[in-house]
Amino acid sequence: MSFILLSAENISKVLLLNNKRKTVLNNINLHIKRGEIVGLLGVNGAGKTTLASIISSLHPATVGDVLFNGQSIYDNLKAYRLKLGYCPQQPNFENNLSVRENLVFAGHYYGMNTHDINTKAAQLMDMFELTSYADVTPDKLSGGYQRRLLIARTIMHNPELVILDEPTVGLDPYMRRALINSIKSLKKENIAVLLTTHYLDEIQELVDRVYILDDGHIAAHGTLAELNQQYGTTNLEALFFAATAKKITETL
Amino acid sequence: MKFIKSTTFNTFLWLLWRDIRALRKTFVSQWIDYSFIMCAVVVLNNYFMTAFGMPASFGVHMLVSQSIASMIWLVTSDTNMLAMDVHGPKTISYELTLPITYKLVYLKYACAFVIKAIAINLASFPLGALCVLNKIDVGAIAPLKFLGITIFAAIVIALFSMMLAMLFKSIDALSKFWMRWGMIIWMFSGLYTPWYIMVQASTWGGYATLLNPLLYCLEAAHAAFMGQQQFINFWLCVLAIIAFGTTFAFVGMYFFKKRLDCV
Repeated sequence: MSFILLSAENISKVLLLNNKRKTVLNNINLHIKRGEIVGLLGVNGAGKTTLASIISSLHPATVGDVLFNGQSIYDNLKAYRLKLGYCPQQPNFENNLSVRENLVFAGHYYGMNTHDINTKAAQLMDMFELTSYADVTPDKLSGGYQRRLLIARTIMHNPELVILDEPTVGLDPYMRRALINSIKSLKKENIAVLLTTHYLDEIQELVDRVYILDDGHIAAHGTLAELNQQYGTTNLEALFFAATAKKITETL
Repeated sequence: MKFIKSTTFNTFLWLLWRDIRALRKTFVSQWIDYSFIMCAVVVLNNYFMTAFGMPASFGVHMLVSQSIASMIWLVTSDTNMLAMDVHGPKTISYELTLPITYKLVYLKYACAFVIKAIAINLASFPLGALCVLNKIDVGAIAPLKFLGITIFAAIVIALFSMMLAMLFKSIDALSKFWMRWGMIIWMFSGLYTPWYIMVQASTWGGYATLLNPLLYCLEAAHAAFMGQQQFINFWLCVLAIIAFGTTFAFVGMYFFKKRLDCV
């Protein structure tokens, strides 16, 4: 099983909300292969961001473990983080630094040498069409360009695994298309991607496999073809409704 | 393993450098602000309050007190910004996914606040000293001790302020603490009088102030600048500052982890 880059094993997360314990993730098992794009699909509040933040080592799981190349990430957290790029839902830039400096500093945080940093920063600004904004601070950028910068910063240090948490939320169609193309280019570089989203078309276009998360547990997982066969559906929308039908009926 | 360790240190230094270089943009403006306050406090207490019956050395006493006060204001302002981020947008989450432990992220903030406070304080202090030059007993000054206690005081103030910022569950609760208790802690820290005067006025009240970490900063700073006679032993103050600082650091880091639920 050496081709599995990351696996989340029996992950549960209990949060204290208004002094009540709430299980937001319940016994989640998930794996990502090297160079694969895996989608994490679910409605708002399904637990996608919580799961992504646990895999990104930002928050701990209450129960369970995350293995990277077969080893628990908690055994050597720093080594894991050197190979990980986490792109959160909300921009968390340093607004005292320009676009270029955000990338340059990101390179330094990960111990890259100055030559590689400058080369990679220039390459990424070119790739994400940020060159003309190189000396602008991120707070002056539009939402779409901020997202581009977030992704550029995420892959600055050549990670093996990238976690993108709803990267296209609130973007106009042009920006969204540009970002989808950017995500595709990560696959070409053999970077594994965990993409959380609630946009079905993104899953359809981008991912190799999908995990459908429903109310803190995995309702279905597999390739789209496998899942359509399993649920007797022909498209992702029908599949999504079939996999999460119980909840939708309850909600209605 | 060696590479990872060096990467951690490297990450720490670059994060620190990022924060310190942000000071370049505001340094001159803040230096002017704090120099004005420093000079105003010293002139008032050296020329007007002595005419009102205060001791001749009162201006010098307040010069030293104000240097600590400046650092408290600077650090508190910075920790409030950190608290607002921790309780709000959490941009700090980026640092918590870098190859560095949360404890080092916490200490990095403390270091950045300390360096900023010391830089502005040391730049504005000479202007205050000029205003009270005729009253300064140069022979009583222990420059290295004064520099050392300035650094130690800035560290304990930063760790104290950061601990409080992490301890409270909301910005509102933190603001209320500073409004209700901050001024009391400050007023009973040896700001206006040496500790022994407080003990003479009220034995129990004086001894109660020994629980105040700021007391040791002010007593030691006064002892280093004005001579040891009237103040608590300098080295005893340093020991107390180390003990308080260590406690604040551990408690602060515990609540930092709890507040952010980080690994």
